Amino acid sequence: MMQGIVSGASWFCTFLLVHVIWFHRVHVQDCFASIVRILAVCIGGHVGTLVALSWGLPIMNQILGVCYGLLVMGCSFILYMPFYYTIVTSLSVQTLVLLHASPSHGLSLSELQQRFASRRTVEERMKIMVRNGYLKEHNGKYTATLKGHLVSRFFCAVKQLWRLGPGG
Amino acid sequence: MKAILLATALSALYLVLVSVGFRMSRPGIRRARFMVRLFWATLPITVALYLATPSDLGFIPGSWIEKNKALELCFLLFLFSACFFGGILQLYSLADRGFSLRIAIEVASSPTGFMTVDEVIRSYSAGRGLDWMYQKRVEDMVRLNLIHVNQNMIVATPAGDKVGARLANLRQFLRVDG
Repeated sequence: MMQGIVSGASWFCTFLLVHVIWFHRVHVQDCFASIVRILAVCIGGHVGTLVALSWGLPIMNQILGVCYGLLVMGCSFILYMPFYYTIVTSLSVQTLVLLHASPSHGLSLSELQQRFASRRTVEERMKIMVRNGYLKEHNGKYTATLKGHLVSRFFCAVKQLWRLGPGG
Repeated sequence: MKAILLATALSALYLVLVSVGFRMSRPGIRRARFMVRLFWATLPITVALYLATPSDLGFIPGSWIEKNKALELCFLLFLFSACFFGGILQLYSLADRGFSLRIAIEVASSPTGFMTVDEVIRSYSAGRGLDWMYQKRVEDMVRLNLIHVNQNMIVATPAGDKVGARLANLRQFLRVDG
């Protein structure tokens, strides 16, 4: 167990390091695809490390070690990704950054709404959703794809179960 | 193996508890705070459950049993925490605040089967509109003492400005656009 956990944790740290350095040095277009690629290489590294270290041991011990390490990497990944995407996409984060950059550390509500709650904001977000396969666009009319329908149905069920209201 | 099984069972139990809590709660409750408090309350239960149950849980094969109990308990706490902070809390956050998700729901539930950008703006969040979405975020930042509203001006508090500076550096380092 210890070997698997240490290997998984080390390879996740490697993933973090490579991700941060790569994104700092190169302007990445498709961030998520790049992140998944780096993670896949690190998962390969973890599996290779475990196989090399536990060579000759019973196969079940090797499999267990690999699984423990994969769990450490998977859990660390689901903890890290919300943090990363909050920094990148959150409107609240972008508002604080914009306020910090403004000379008096303040802006009018209408200026902020123009920037973060305008037609352009929605249009850009819907184009991203088209690229990610949630929506289809034809002559300015948007329809939900199968993936979009499934995701919205799942979350409508969650909202209903937890009595959350429309939200957004 | 015991850590994985207990973390799975505890996450399922937590989901049941939080669902019951949300359904029984009064309107206006701060749900995220309720969820975090419930999580802290379940941690002693997690430790107690680990100590009270046999190493093999009655069916785990001998070769799968971890001899280092302290390591296994730490692993269990890590797994359960990841399930909560990375899974359940994110699920709530997305369901309650997701901007893209709300757009997807509006388009998917449109009676005509399609929507233009202007229709999405008008119907956003059951007709509350886009300004409401941003106003909600402004109110949250005021509550967290990151900004204050003076007439129509939004001004960063010293704490908000410090956070804004750090986030700006981080975004610049990671070359985030916008």
